[in-house]
Parts: sequence; structure tokens; C-alpha cells
Amino acid sequence: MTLLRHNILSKSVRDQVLVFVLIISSLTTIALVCFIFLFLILESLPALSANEFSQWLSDPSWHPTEGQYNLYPIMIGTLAIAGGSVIITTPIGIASAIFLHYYAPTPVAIFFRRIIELLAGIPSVIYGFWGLVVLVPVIIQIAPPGQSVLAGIIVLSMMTLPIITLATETALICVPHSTIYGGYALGLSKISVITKIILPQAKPGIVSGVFLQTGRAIGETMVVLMVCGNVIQIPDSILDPARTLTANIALEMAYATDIHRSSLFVTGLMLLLSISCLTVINEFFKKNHHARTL
Amino acid sequence: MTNTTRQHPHQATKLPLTESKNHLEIKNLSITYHTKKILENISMMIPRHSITAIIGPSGCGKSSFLSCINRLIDLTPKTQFSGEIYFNQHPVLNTKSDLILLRKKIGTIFQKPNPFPMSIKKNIQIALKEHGTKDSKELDRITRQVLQDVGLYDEVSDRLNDSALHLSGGQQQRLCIARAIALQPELLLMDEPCSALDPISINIIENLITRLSKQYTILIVTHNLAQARRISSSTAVFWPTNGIGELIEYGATEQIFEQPKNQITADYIRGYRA
Amino acid sequence: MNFLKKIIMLVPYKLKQSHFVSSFFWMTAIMVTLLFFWMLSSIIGDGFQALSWEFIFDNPSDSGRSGGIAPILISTVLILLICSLTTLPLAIATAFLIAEFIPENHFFSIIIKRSLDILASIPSIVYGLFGNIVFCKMMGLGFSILSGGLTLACMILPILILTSEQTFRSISKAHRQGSEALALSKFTTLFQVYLPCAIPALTAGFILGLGRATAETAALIFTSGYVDRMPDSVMDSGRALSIHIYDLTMNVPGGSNNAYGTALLMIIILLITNSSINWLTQRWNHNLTAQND
Repeated sequence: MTLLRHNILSKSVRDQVLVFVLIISSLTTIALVCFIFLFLILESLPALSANEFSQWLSDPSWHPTEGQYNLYPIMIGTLAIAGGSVIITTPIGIASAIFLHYYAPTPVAIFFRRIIELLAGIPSVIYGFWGLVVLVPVIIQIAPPGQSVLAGIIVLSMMTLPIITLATETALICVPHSTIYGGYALGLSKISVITKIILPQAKPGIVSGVFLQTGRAIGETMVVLMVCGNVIQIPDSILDPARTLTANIALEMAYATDIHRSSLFVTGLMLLLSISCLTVINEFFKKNHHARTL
Repeated sequence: MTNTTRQHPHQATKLPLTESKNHLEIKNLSITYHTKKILENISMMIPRHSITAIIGPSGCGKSSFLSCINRLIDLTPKTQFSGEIYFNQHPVLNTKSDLILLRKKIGTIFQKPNPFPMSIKKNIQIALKEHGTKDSKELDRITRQVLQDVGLYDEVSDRLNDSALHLSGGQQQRLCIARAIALQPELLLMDEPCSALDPISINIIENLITRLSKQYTILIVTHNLAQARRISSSTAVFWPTNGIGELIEYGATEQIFEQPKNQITADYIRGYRA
Repeated sequence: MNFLKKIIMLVPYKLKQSHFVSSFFWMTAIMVTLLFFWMLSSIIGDGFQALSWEFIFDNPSDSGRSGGIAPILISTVLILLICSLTTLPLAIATAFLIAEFIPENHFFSIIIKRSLDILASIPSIVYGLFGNIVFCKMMGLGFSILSGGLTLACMILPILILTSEQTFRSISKAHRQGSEALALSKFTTLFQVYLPCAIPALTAGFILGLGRATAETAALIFTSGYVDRMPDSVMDSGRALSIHIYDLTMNVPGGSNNAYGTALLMIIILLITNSSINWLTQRWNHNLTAQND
């Protein structure tokens, strides 16, 4: 903070008060992060101390009222749904961004961008609602019960598509034109220029978009709660229902008490930690790349 | 000149090199950007294995002229061109001409060195692979050959897998030249290749250009009149009249610099008009 | 990306030059567009039958199967109001500090940036858990509109700070030298130079944040609660629009008609916010370029 004081030229009292107020309010941000971690850890402690660590993976199943806390099927459900949507969305999102930037004529590009922006803004509960009343009945026609991992993957993909598309597009804009012209001047075809020259340069931005999107897919609650069926089991196929960590919290928080409630905070803490890890890895990638190019 | 049918890429490579003295013929070329004319009525005949310098003040359309020859101008929206360009007697401005083959046969060096952000080796091999050289020994042989041709091999032979961005400006520019000649083009277009470089690198590159002219036809845009005089065999002077670029004088370099016919040229090369 | 590359590598050389590749990209875009219109048309089609003036001004009856959504709208507005009253000053203050006072590589600024990154990535259900302990339990606010609003405030804080910071950075280029040449104090600079001319861009960022808050469901389930009566005060539990949709589809058999109506209303709100953001941003860019000329 002493450094801060040196940066301020003016000595007026009003300014000093202003800086004081500003620093206090920005400390709120830092405090908020600390508090979120602190309280989740505090609330998780009862469950963490009551259970052996291995119990979270080896209990017969998840029946908190009977003292069984196996999170394994729920974790598998989360990974299957989030992973599936990331695998589907990444190529489509990158292709959409390439289309937007290199293939679409201007009016089409403007129109398509509006659609992507609208998709980004639609509330997740509306995606979930649409999935439940429109998409699930369609899936029932193919294979009951309809509420399934597949439904979750489809709706979640629609929801996270804009994230990767917009991230890729931003990265494409930043690719220097000189190298693009260089590629064309060597007689490379358009698709070679895109895949061999533009995409490698846009890679850090795209990777960071994928991380962002993975975080969103893991943390999304409403869509998976509404369309995935919420059955606690390791899904055998994508047509089986499954439950995710987030849906588990949303479903059981209303009636959970004591250790059960605390074990829900443990799942919350797991979510928080895994997503913070993604954020940190992403930062590391960015920095690493930055160091390599300079 | 009557040959306007579309050439299949693989047939076109087999077409015999014509014995015509002129490697590149430009007839009545005009370029319009938006609604503004930037170049009007350019006609030039460029003989094989010669160095032609294009000089003139900024904004007279020299760069647009070059980008018409390799059709990179297609990347700039809202540009129209009229007139005819024949390269090896093939019409360049035909909408159906094979741009990929064209750009393979016409190498381009840009004002600012623009190596791709990848290894030195990959910079050279990326286009070779695209154009069908798959054998890795052959690729390495060509890489070594072209790096030797531009005098870069001794400087970088131990770090071919390092990023090309770590090279100095002059080395980057030579790498870009190596990248272009790896494709065995017939014509090299150079758009002020030395303007972003230091005097020592300029000297190296000028010597390189002189050497290259034994194998390639070279068209070089330059702001440096002394450079044009040193290396070129013929010179074209572009001049903007009312904002529209025109070719005001074209002839042997000696004649242009010793006895210019046009008054504007005379003033320009003496530094009266800049 | 390697996956995409490999697929493209499989395509023979000649095909790459043809229209094959370009039609692949067109197909992708058309597919995305069709999915979007499928979703939009089903919601608009069924939503229009439910949406009417009575729907907006009536109380819900029969657990929301019939009647309207008046108390739900009021609760939503109250939640958003509390949320914006808390975040706006905090966000503007933090943004002004990191944009104007601290150099970008200063450790304090880096800590704030990292905190913002983490805050922005935290799933909303975790915010719900946090709000539930801190606001409902520890501060004793219970399931109330106030708890819900404060929880959402924590959630949209990072978005607001990041957009306002960008705004301040873009004005400071134009005005910093001017106000420093006049030796204006930072206080005067903030309140008389920056804030007045930054209003359109700040508003755009603010609307974006509010849009996120309106769309939020998971963070509200355990903080503002489910009660669909008209709230007497902010200490009452109140149901937000998004929770209403969730409740009608999941817990009330036969409630989907009114859920369609509510969903359509939310999409209309979204369209209005999106276009106002676009309009404000355009005006802002226009202002900036006018200044630079």
C-alpha cells in the first residue's frame, strides 16, 4: 500500500479519502473470494471429519440419510455430461467462428453473430425448460426414458456453444494479417491458411475458451437438473439418466440436515476447487504461451 | 493470349515455358478501390531473368500493382481491376485462373518480414508439403538448399527447430525469401523488402537479389532510389496525378537515371519532388 | 483442435480446393441456426397463447397453473434492485482504482484480477450455498428477497467490475492528459469528468450484469425461496421469474402453459436488454471516435 501513496500526486484531503474508500471497496472483492472458500470449508468440516476419505468413493451408494456417501456415480455422471458437451461443442464452436470470420458474407455474419449473442443470453432455466418439454419427448420416441445423459449433453452444448465461438472469434481477430497474406502468397489454399497458419496462432485463445466452457458445463445446474433424470447410477449408455454434483445439491439442499447438509457442502467445495483449478491452469497456459512467443 | 480456357492445375504445370522474351506482360491495367481509382492504364513488358525496379512516391499504387500480379488483391474487399496481365502468356486476371498455382509460380516478399510463428524448418516446409513434396529427406534437402541460397544456412543450421521469431529482422527477411524460392517460382515480387531493415542487412539482401536474378525474374518496389539504380536493369516510375497512379516513365535504369525523358522523373530522381 | 485438423487431413488434396470445405462450414452454421430457431419458435408459439395483460397483472392461483405472475415480477424487480444498489458503487470504485491508480503489474492489482477471474468462474450453485450460510443463516435474514439480492450481487460483481474497468481505461486515454494538465484532483476527475461521459458504457455493462442476474436460478433457490405471494417487505421470501419457470415445469404437473408464458416474457426482456446494450455501445464508440477526431 505504501507504493500506492507514492503514485498519487495530489495531496488534497478529498483525494486521500477517495483513495481510502476505493481501496476498502476493492478489498471486498478479495475478501469475497476468501469468504467463499472459508465458509464452504467450514461447513464441509463436519462431514469430512465424520467420514473416512475413502468412504466418499467406496460406500455402497449415496444414501445420506442412512449414512452412505458414495459420490462416485455422481462424479461419473458429471464428467459424462460435461465431457460430452465439451467434445461436441468444441469443433462446432470453432467451425462457427471460422465461418463467421472467413466464410460468411457480411450480412450473414451479422445475422449469425446476433444469433450467437442471443444464445449466450438465454437464461439456463429456459434451456432446461425447452429441453424438458420439447427435446425429451423427441428422445422418448427413440429410446425411453428420455430424460438422459444425451438430453443433457445436447442442451448443455447449445448453451455453451456461444462461449467457445466468441472466444475463438476474438482469437481469430488478433491473428496478424501479415502472416495470413504470407500464407496466401505461398499458394496455400484457404483451408490450409486457416488450419496451418491461423489456427495455431489463435490456439491460446481457443484453449482458454475451451477451459471457460468446461467450467460452465461442470458448474451448470438448471439444465442438468431438468433434463438428465437425476437417477443416482453410473450410466451404461448415453440414453440412461444420471445425476450431477450440481443437481445433487439443488435437489437435496431443501431437506438436508446435519452431516447430510454438510456433505452437500463437500460437493460444493469439490465443484469450487475443480473450477478454480481450471482457472489456474488456464492462467498458467496463457502465461506459458506468452513467455514462449516473446 | 487466346488461351482463356480454364487450366487444370496439373495440366498447367506441364505447359511448356514459352519462348517469348517477355515473362510478364501487363496491358492497360487499372485498379479501383471502392469508387476511387488508384491506378490507371499501366502497360509494361517484363523480360525473363531481369530485375525491374518500381519507384515513385507513397500512395501511387505500387503495392496494389504488385498484389494484382499475384492476385492477393482478391483478399481486399471492394477492389476491382480491369485490363490484362499475362504471366507466361497465361491470363492472370481471368476469374477462373488457378490462384494456387499462380501464387506458387510467383513468390512474394513483403515489406515487413512475416515469418509464421513456428520453427524455421516448418516455415519453409509448410508450403512444400502443401504442394505435394511428402518425402522428409527431400524436404530437408530443399530446406538446406534454399537456406544456403539465401546465405542463412551457416547462421541457423544448429537451430532449425527454433522459432523463426527469434531471428533478427534481416534474417527473418532472408528466411521469407528462402520460403518463397523453395517453391521454385519463376517470378519474385518484392514490396520494399529492405525498408524495415538495418544497412548491413540491406547490403546482404541486395547482393542476394542480384544473385537471384540469374534464375528468377524480379520485380521490386523500392523507395530507395540509390538501391533501384544499384540493382535493377530497368525502372518504372509511378506517379500519382490527381490521386490516380500512372506509369510516367519506363525504360532501362541507366536511361531513367541519366537522361530521364519526363520532367517529373527528372525532378524526382534529383530529389526535388518527394 | 487436433481432432479437427486430423479430419481435414483426411480430405484429399483436390477436394480441399473445391467447395466441399466451404459447404462444411455453411452446414455447421445452418445447423446451429436451425437449432436456435427450433427452440425460439417452440417457446414463442406456445408462449403467445399464455401471455396477456391479465397474465402480467394477476396473482398466481392453483400453484401457478392458472392466474398470472404479478407478485413474481415484483419480487424479481426487488431482488434486482437490491442487487444493483449493492454492486454498483463497489464495482465502480474497484474499477476506478485498478484503472486509474494502480499500475497493471502491481501486486495489488494482480490479486484483484485473479480474484475476479475466480469469482467469475464460480458456479452459481456455489454462490447459492454461500448465500445460504452467510446471508440466510449467519446474518439471520432467512429465506428473503434481501438474501437473494445480496447473493446475486456477489455473483455479478466481477462482470460489473470488468466492464467498468474497460470503460475507464478507454476514457482515460482521451481525458487523462486533459485533466492532469488542469491539475484536477482525482476526486473531481472521477465525479465531474469520468462518470458523466462514461454513463452510456457503464449503463451497458450494468444492463449486462442485470441480465445475468435475471437469468439466474440456482443461486436463488436456497436464498430467496419459493413463496409466490406478494412480498410485504424485502425480508419476505419472494419467487423470481426463473424459479417460477423451474417450479412450474418440475414440481407442478400441468404448469407448463404458464411456464411458456413466463419463458416468453424472459426472452422478450432479454431481447430488449440485448438491443439496448448494442445501442449504448454503439453510441459510446461513436462518442469516443468523435473525441479522438
